[in-house]
Amino acid sequence: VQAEIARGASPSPENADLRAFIMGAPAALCILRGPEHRFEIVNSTYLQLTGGRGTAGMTVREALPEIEGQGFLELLDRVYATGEPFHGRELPAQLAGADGALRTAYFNFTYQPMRDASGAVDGIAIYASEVTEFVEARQILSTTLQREQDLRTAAEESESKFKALFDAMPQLGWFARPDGYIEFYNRGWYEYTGTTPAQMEGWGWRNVHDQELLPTVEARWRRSIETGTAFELTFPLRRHDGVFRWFLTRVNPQHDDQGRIIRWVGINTDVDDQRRSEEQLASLLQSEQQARTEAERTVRFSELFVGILGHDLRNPLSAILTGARLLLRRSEDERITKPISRIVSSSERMARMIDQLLDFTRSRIGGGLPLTPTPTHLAALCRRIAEELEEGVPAPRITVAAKGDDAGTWDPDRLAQVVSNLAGNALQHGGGGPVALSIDGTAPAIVSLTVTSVSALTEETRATMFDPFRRGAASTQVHGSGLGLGLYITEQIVTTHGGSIRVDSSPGRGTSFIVELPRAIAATSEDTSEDQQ
Amino acid sequence: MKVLVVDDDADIRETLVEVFLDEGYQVDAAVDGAQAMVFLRAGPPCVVILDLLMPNMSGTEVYGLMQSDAALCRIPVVISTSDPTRAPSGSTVMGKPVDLERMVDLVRRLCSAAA
Repeated sequence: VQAEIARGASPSPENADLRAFIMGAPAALCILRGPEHRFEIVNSTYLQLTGGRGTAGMTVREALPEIEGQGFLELLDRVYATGEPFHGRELPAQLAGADGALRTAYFNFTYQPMRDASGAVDGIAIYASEVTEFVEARQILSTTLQREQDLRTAAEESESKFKALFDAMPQLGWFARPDGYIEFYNRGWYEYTGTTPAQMEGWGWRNVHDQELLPTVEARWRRSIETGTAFELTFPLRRHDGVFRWFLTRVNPQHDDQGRIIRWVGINTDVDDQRRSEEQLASLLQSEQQARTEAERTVRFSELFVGILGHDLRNPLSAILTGARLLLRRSEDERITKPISRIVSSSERMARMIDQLLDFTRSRIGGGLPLTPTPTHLAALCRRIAEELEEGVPAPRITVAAKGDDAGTWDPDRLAQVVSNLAGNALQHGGGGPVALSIDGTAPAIVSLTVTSVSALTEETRATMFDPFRRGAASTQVHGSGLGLGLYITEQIVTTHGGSIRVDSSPGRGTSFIVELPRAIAATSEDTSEDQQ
Repeated sequence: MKVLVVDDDADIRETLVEVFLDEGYQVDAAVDGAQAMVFLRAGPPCVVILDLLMPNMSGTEVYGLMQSDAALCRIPVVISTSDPTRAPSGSTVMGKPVDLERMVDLVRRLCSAAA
């Protein structure tokens, strides 16, 4: 039929076979006659498209009034007028359904002009097929495709933004494929390492590693790749100038919706300064620890020394002295008592030196000299010491004078050492003149003791006399000179009491040692003495 | 009247024993704290001369046991030590080297007070 139509021959209505064929064809076919396009033959498939409208004898305008203004009538007129066929593809038409409501349907169709025997157009054959489902499906597909495209574009934009940020970050960074092959390094990486993309791609990064540590790094990286777990390790990377700096490197996998790794993102953070500070701190801590250990060793040694002096050395000396004194008690014979007296006095001198060494050592250990604070009268104490120093002396040279309140809370044995040392020195070095001890207790919080002798001190003596183990010219003149610790210990005792000692010496006025003591030992000193006991 | 001398240093201990024998006392001598406790329980002296640093029970421990024992707490004790700062508080202390005159004098007074 199509061939017949295409040849432009009007099928003869008399040809019943042709009519039957048109009527039973699976495609929508109809034949319009005349310039007003009156239906002549309409098959059932065509009638399905129009909802049964298009009865033979009706014009198209009458049968399908809704197509007015949709351009189809104009197309039919043009085909009829020009004799040019028209092929429409997927053109939409608004057609009224059975209920009168318009629906949009899409058609592929041909308007084929038909001619009479003289060749003039006398009708139009329409061949049409509805493609609405196909068009709609394609529209949905197209929309979906468009949406996907939009998403992809957005993802690409986001990816490029991400890469831009990644590129600009101060750390070194890179992306690797799931198999660990590195595809992208950021600017920081190239600036730091001074390398090119060609040198770095894939596994080229190994060239900027410390070759000794590289096997460890590679092993850890391969394990992460195999197990899909994040990587974290600190190792050095070579800078463009050859200097290695330490980096903390973290590599995290990125997953897709199905949990598959799509790439690895690695970031190397420079921790060199931090690490250096940590090392310095550790080294400082270590040297501090060493110093403390050293100090503790010194204290332990000093304590051991105190033990040896105080017990091991003093015990046999005690045995010598006690034995010698026992002999003195038993004998009246001068041939025996004189040499034994020398044993006694030498032993006593040695015992005093041991006491001084003990005091010196204790003064150097943490707590200082131990004190036992007791209510004490300083004037009475001075008088007792003066008597002991000049026992049996025919013409005593020491005078003791006191004014005000001489009472305080001090360690009387230690103060006795102070008075004995100062008055003893004055007797020995005072040029044989008088020695005055004057106590001034007129102030409320302080009691002072001044020990005055007539001779002046040399500059040299004044400069060094409080130093321990001093060996000045003056001390060598002294009979039975000791260790040079007397004044040092005196000063220690006074300062441990919270007091002070100073010297005033001039050729005209002689020499005065002035000791000032607070009436009570400061609380910390008392605590110290408690601890020591 | 009996004096108990407790000292691990043989020279000091024997010299003190001789001193008190010279003075007419009976004298027991213990080489350490443990032996001192045996003598104390066997027959209380009128005074104990007690060293502090000794093996087998220190003088500090002996002093403590005596103070907590009703039969011994009244016996006077003279602590004879090279380190008086270690002496138990409240005790009578005499530093080493021993001043014999003071020691003899002190023991005489303590024993006569006890008698």
